Amino acid sequence: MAATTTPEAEVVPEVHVEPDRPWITIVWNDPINLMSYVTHVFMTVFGYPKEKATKLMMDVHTLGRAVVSTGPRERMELDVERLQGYGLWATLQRDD
Amino acid sequence: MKAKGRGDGARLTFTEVERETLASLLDDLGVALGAGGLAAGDPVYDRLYPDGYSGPVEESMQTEFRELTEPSLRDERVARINACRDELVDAADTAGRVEVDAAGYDRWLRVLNDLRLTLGTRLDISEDDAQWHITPDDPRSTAYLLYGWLTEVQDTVVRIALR
Repeated sequence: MAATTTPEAEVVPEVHVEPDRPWITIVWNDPINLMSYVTHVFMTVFGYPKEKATKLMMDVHTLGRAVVSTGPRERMELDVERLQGYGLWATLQRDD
Repeated sequence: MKAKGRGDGARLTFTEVERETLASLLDDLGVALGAGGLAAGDPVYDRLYPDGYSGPVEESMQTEFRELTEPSLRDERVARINACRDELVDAADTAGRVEVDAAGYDRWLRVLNDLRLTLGTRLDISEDDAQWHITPDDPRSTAYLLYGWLTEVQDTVVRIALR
C-alpha cells in the first residue's frame, strides 16, 4: 500500500476460531490503495473500530495479506463483492 | 483542494484548474470503465475485477462469481463517476465548493480510488519509489504528476473520516 503518514500503534489482534465455518475473506496488498483508505474501508464495510481496522490494514501492508472476515461461503462472497466495489483486492477461499 | 468534515458528510473545495482537470479525468474514466470500455486481459480490468476465489477452486465458480458481480459493480462504478463529475460541473456556480452527505462522501472516496487505481495501473505503479525519479522529458511525467496530486486529494478526503 502507499503510505502517507506513520501508522498508529499496533493493537492485539482478535482471533475468532469458527471450525464449522470454513470460508475466509482475504485482502491482498497492492501498491496503489492508500493505507488510510484501506483502514476506512474496513471500518465502513465491516463496522470494525478504528484500532481493529488499522491492525488489519497493517497486516495487509506488512504481511501481504490479511483475513478480514470468516463465515459461510455465501456471506464471504458478499464481503468480497463489497470490498471489490471499494477497489480492494479481495478474494475468498476455504480456511484450510 | 481543501476538504472539511460537515456532520457525516463533507465540503470539498476545488480551485478552477483543479475542478476542470478532475472533471475532465472523470469524463475519460466514465468512458474507460463503462460497458465495452475494458477488455478482459487489460491490466485495469484485472485490477478492478479480480478473481473472486483464491486457492484451488473449480473454474466454474470463478466464472459464476464474475458473472454475478461484475455487471453491477461496473454499473455502480460508472454511476458514481458520473455523479461526481456532475457535481464538479455544478460547482462552477458555487466557487468550486462541493457539499456532500455521508453517501456522497463515500461515493467521492470510491471514485477517487477508482481513478487512482486506473491511472496507477496504467503507470505500473509499484511500492518501489524509484519511478518518482523520472525526468521532465519523460512522456509519462504529466500522468505521474496527476497521480501524485490525486493521491494527496484522496488522502485529504479520507482523513476527514479517520479523525
